[in-house]
Amino acid sequence: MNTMKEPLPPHLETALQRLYASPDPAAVARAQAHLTRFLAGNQTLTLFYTILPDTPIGPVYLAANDKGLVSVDFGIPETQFLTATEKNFGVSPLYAPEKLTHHASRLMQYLLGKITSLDIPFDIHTLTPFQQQVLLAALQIPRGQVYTYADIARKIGKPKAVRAVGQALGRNPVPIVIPCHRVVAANGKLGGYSGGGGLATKRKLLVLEGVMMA
Amino acid sequence: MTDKPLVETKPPFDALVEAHSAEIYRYLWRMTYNTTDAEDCLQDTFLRVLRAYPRLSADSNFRAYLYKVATNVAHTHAVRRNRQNHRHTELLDIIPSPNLSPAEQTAENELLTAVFTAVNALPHKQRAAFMMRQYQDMDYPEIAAALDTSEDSARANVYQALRKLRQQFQVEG
Repeated sequence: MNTMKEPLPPHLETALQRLYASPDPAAVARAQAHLTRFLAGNQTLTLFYTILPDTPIGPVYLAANDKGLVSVDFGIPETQFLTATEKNFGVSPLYAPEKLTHHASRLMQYLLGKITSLDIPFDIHTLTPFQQQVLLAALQIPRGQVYTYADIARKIGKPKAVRAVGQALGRNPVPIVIPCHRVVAANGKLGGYSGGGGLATKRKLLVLEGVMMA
Repeated sequence: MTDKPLVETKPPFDALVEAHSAEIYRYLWRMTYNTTDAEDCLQDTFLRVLRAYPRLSADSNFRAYLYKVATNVAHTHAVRRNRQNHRHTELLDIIPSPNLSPAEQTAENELLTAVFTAVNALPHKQRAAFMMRQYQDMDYPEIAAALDTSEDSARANVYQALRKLRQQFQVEG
């Protein structure tokens, strides 16, 4: 079946041509310029990382761009952290502890119980709007308290999205900094934890924050 | 010795933007028929591709992939538009052809509106295939890849679109 064999009726051909031949060239140029600017704001050009080799939850890896932390990980070997970061962000991070001294020292002090608020900038704009909403809601949970998955779902105005909330928290790229460990199951159990070390780490963090007994 | 890498490497993402942003914009404009909507869809398309980029293999057909994402974005956009009752069913900016009498201009406008309505009434996939074939300079293997379908089905989609339009605008007589 050759669709080009039969020509279209000339008046139809002319009308299609008039309608669809070409958009306003100025609009094309404008769209391209806006796209370039939009992408520049969205592209993570360079990532840096550092390691906290010895913390109460084992080695902790931090990766950041110039806006803030993009990834926190623990309980895995360094090579796995690098592979995962490259896969998620499309660039392999450069080892640059000097770029992350502030972030690293605050996190270390927090894990040692010396400070109670982290307040580290992070960048989660590559996540979906829903994931961002969930994580920002989790960020509001004060230290020493826990919410249920349903609490978070209600907080973001989607009370039925309990399961999706769980999934979004499970994909938290910056655990501890965004305290997804403060979200637990409604039955009084811990729920899940996708951070390194799994539930044992979640328990350690909640003990550190005074929510659970050691 | 050559500098050619042993493993085929991906083009930098920026090169993809450079090479295809104008044609993808034109495609999205044809699909949305609105410069602002097309611009929004263009940004959404490239953002999605940027996010997926690390997972694409070096031998991917990047052009077809861009069309695939753009087609999905345009579809989502159309669904949202319809739900909000913001359908673009009117032609606002048709520049009248010069040297036409007022009566001829009215007739031309009526024809253009009728054709526009007929194209809009095509199922999304047929309209996408039609635009790719007629205006985007794509061959059937590429259209098939963009629509995630077989070459036969890509051909059938274009054929159906043309058949419907032809049927509606047959020359009387």
